[in-house]
Amino acid sequence: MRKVRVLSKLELKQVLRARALPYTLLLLTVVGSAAVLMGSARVREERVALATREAFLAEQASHLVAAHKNDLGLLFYYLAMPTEHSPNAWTPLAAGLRDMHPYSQHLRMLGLTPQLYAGELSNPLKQLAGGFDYAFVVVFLLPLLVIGLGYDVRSRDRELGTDLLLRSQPTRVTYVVALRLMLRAGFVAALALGSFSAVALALALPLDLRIAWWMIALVGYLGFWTALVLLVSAWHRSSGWNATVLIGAWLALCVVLPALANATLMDAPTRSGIELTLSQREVMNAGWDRPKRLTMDPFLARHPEYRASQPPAEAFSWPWYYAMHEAADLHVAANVAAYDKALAAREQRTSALAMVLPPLALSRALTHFAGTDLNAHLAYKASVAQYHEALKRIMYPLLFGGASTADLQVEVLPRHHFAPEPKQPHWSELLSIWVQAAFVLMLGLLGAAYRGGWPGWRRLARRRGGR
Amino acid sequence: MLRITRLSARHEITRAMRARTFRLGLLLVSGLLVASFVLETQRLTVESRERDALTEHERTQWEQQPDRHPHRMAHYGLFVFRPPSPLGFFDAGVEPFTGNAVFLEPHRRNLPNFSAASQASELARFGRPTAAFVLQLLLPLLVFCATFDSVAGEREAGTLRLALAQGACTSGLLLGKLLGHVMLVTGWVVPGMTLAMVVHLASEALPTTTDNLLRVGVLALVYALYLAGCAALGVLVSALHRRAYGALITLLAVWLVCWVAVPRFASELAARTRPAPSRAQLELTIARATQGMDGGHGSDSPAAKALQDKLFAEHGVQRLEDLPVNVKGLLMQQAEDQTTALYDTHYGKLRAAQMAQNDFVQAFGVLSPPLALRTASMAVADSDLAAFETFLEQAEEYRTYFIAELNRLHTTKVRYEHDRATRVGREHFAAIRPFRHERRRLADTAPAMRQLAVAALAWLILLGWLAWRSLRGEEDRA
Repeated sequence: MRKVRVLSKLELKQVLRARALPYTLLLLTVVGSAAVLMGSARVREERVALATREAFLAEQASHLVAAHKNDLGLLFYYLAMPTEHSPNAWTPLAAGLRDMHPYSQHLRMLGLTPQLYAGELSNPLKQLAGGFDYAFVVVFLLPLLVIGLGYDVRSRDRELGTDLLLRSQPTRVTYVVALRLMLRAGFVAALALGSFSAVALALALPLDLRIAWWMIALVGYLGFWTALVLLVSAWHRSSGWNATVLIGAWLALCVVLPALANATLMDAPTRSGIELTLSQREVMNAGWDRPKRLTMDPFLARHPEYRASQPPAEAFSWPWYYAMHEAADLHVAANVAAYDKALAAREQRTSALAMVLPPLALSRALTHFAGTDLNAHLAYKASVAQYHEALKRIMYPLLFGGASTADLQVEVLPRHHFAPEPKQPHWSELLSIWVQAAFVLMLGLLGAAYRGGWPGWRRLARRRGGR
Repeated sequence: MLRITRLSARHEITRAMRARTFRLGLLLVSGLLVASFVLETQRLTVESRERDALTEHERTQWEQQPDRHPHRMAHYGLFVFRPPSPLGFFDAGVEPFTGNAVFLEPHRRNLPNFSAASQASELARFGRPTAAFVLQLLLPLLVFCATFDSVAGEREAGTLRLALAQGACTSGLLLGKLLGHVMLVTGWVVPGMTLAMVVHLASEALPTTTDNLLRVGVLALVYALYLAGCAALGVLVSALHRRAYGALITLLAVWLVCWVAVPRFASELAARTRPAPSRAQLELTIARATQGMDGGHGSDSPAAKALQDKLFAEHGVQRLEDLPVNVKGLLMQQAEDQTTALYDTHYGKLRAAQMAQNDFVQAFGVLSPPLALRTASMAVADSDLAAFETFLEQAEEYRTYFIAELNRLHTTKVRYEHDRATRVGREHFAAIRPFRHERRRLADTAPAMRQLAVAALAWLILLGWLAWRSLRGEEDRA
């Protein structure tokens, strides 16, 4: 035990004495804080915008009521209710798809379909560059610290000429190497967990299980990279070779394979998206040229409660106008469902892919908690559709009952809020990080045992002419 | 010196090719390049076919509409589609992130939606493996892996001292090593790229026009220079190190910071320090500004009254029914001009904010060569933001045109007294010319090229300084 303590102390000194370490840590701290600060600034902007919209609604309502005193239908035509996909406490950490889909939009009483697919107005060049948030720092940069600290864990002695010295010690080399790696991994893990705790305090993350799940995922992820370092060092090649191969692995897992998978597995449902908008608009517009009865009859069959108060058969009437919009939405309802299903299937495939790509799994864990992934967006869209329906349920009785503007109080209309707070992680993906870490660790240990001469392997190694 | 340069260049190529890691890397990158060409060409072919089909479908639909009131036809509206850039298979630029279809309608200006990325999971954020991506990001890394031990390795092995002792001059040796790596990388990229482009030209995926040929030429030149610069950086950093693996670590760190981190960091910083409105904010601003505007549907606003009085005075009549023109159509156009101007102002602000962000990011090109190259590459491939803006402007021009045409029909072909009941013959609608997207010419990419030139100059100065330092260091040591 004492031996371990002495060795640990020595090795830790070695780690901490590396010349580049303070600079690297400083850089990482600056970069990480900048990412979190910019993330919270982004979310603050969103919150301000959301609050402003709510304030504007009252202004808009009083204006509309004054301007369209005797035309409730026209008031509804202009009324735009704000929707809200609220950020949660984790949102500053992972922007995810937040710059693709609007966090708030106008919702009018007209057809829903064309309103649902409005994109966010982000700068495309920024979208191309990718986000710079806590998720990026952890998923992309932290493994590099693991690599940077560990790539020469075995090869340094040979290159410094201390190899013989090391091997003449009463401690087995494998133990020393294992100890070194564990110290380095522990150092990075302590750093990652410590900085995350600071972030959690700074952002006042709610104390729920998400914090624990995230820490578990994070440690598994660092374990995966440490195991990979062990596997590569077990080859007993030069430090340069190790660094090259490890960077290559990082490049493959974090950059190239996801990009390739993106290009091959994701057939874009672009066409169907546009087509359902086109089709909705055909039906919508054809309504004007058809006898009004053809629009009203199916509508009244769906809503028999309004049968008693039928609008005029031939002249323009607001009930007919909104019925036409509803008919167009219903016409494409199946296509909309199919489109959403295609997107959900895409999300499923991404999840399957995350099972073999730890960086993707970790980044998904964070966007999931932050409510900025595709699932959250789909749920938001569904909630907007429900809200639209609820508003129509309020509007129809007023329109059919011939109510006047005075009967409508915009202040008491329900408001849309969507605030995802997922508490459970994606279990399989979380597990997959650990399984892969364990698998690579096993390979690494086998490799180290084979090349480094664990008792049972020695004879075999010698026979093969290895070291 | 010339002989030394030649010798050392040849020696350098042999050395690099002998390394197994380099050969493997070369193989992988080549495979990736081929895959990217195949995948992206396929995507581009499918996309352009789809958009052509949609454009044609849209036009047929328009022409087949029944006789209608012109303003109904305006509300029926028109979808226009952005054809993908023919060089998008090489550099997709911002195309995956920009919408492809815009709905043109009266009273409001829409922005395109249905971008490829908006229909994807977060996997889309890991990027598209286009050839430009491979050449900008991955190939420099391979170049660094080949060059890191070119000088430092020889120094470590003691062969450098030997060569110098035998009378080789330092500058000749260094130049030779540099040339060797430049030849190695360009000698492999240029034929490969040429082959790919020739295949595309021959298969007519890329139309053979002078403009396209010029674009291909400029791209080849810019990328060759970029890779040569990377090779020079690698050799010079190697020359400044005593040990090869120190050079490797420095190069890897440079790559990580300048190639991976800086572009993301710069654009995030730009978005925070030069905020552009989000959809929610812009919608709010426009809702505020349009409050009280009725799109020309009402006739009791002061503007409407003023127009009526003007018309009465002009034609010497007292009643709207007696006017030779339909005042409703004129009112509609008047309101349209007003909203168009309003949208111009607010979208102009959005655009200006985004441009300010991009200029800010561009300044980081001095720190990050791929950032500088990216802008120029996208501009030449016609897949950059400016190309997209050109499409938006043309779509807006077209919207203004077709709405004005319909309002003209409303004014002249629809009588005031029977306004709502009137239908105008469909042949009038078919006479509205279809939308045509005009691409920018290569000359229009001059600003992007200028920015690249500035960054290139900065890098040339840096390389020169490195060369001077390493030469001086060698003399000191000798």
